Amino acid sequence: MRYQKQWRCLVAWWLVATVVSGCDLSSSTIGEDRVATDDMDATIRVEARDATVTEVWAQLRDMNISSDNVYVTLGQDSFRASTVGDFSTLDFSDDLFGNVGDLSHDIKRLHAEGDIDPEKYSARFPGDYVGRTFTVSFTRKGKRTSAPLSTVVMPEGFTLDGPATDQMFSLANDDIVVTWSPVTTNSADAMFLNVSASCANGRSYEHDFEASGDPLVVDPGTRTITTGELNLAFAGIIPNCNVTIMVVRSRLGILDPAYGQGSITARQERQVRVLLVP
Amino acid sequence: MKKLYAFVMLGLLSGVSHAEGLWYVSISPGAAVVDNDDFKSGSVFQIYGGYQFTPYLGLETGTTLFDKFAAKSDDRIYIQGYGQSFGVTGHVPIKRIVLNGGAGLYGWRMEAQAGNDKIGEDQGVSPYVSVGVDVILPANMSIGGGSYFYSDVSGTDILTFNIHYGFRF
Repeated sequence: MRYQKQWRCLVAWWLVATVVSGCDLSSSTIGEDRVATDDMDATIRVEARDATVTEVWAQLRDMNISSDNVYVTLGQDSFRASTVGDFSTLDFSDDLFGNVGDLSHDIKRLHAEGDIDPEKYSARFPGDYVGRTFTVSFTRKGKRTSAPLSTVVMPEGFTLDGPATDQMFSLANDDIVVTWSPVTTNSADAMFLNVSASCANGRSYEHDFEASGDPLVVDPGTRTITTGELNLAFAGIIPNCNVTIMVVRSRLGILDPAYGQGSITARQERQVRVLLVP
Repeated sequence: MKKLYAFVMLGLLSGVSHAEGLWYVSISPGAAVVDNDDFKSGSVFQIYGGYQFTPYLGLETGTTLFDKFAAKSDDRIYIQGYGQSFGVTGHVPIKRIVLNGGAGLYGWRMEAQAGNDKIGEDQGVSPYVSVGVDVILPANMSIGGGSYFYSDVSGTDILTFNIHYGFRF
């Protein structure tokens, strides 16, 4: 009788533990071997935050699962990113080990970002690679279909000219004027601003603003975020916030057709932190 | 240097005058590493044969194939190649064990691949040295192991570790 009670207790604990682990609200994962490539929604980004480092990352979702935060983890499959371009144009005729070894530095395998983001795979390249084509290949073991050729070209970089770091703005009175240069005239590029706020009341806010209200103007080089826009975007915002303004120049690439859906984009991102007070 | 040359010539001539020649062939699979951190190790396969004028000296030729030194960053990028070697060999028989050494030239042709695309080709002649040990088995068979060092094959040195399976006649 006493042992029966202990068993019941153990089973109850197991049930509680199972339910708690199943209710993890952050994100969950499924193995890649259960998902066909044409059921995958791929998000691939090539991002340069300055001229020194470019990060490539990729995430896969199962299109058959409606939840947005269920990602596919890779087992034997792998992502690789390359800045080499078209291999068929290469023709080394001496020092093969030296030349091909140097070439191999421009190809990197994307690795899971540890426990923090286990379903996000990334690699870093030194430099900003402006105008260079990135090729991201997804290689699958066995009979699964690979997606070897997702490509995107890195757009021109730019400098954020204003506002100054830690400049103070009043939510009641001050518009925030954001300026950057040089502007792009490439119609393949899109400009937008991402504004995120972390406030004294412990809440966080995030909103995207188009850089230009005129669809004919790709890149105006300046954008004024009015107090009205801020109040509207961040309804109920309590001032005394650290606000990060990120200006993004984005270019869409061509996703390998083997994926079910998704996108590959290259982005130049520059950001500045300002302070928002009442 | 003159003394060394005289010593070698003396050994060769004395061997020719005192011993009957010996033919041998051997196959020799193994692993190969390159002196370049960007590449993984590859495999090597050699088939070679030679003639010993004396128990101590001989001439040897062989075909060597290097298979897939893959780039560490991407298996689909690799270098492979083949070539023909010619060299002199020295042998020190100790009962059933024979210590071997050799040196010569290796004419090679290497090719670089990236997936289905050939991205480079190179050829040349490089010096090599070898060391090894063989055990003479019954029925003129032999088994052993050894190592070859090829200097500057398309920009890198290659070191191999082989197993020998031989036949003497």
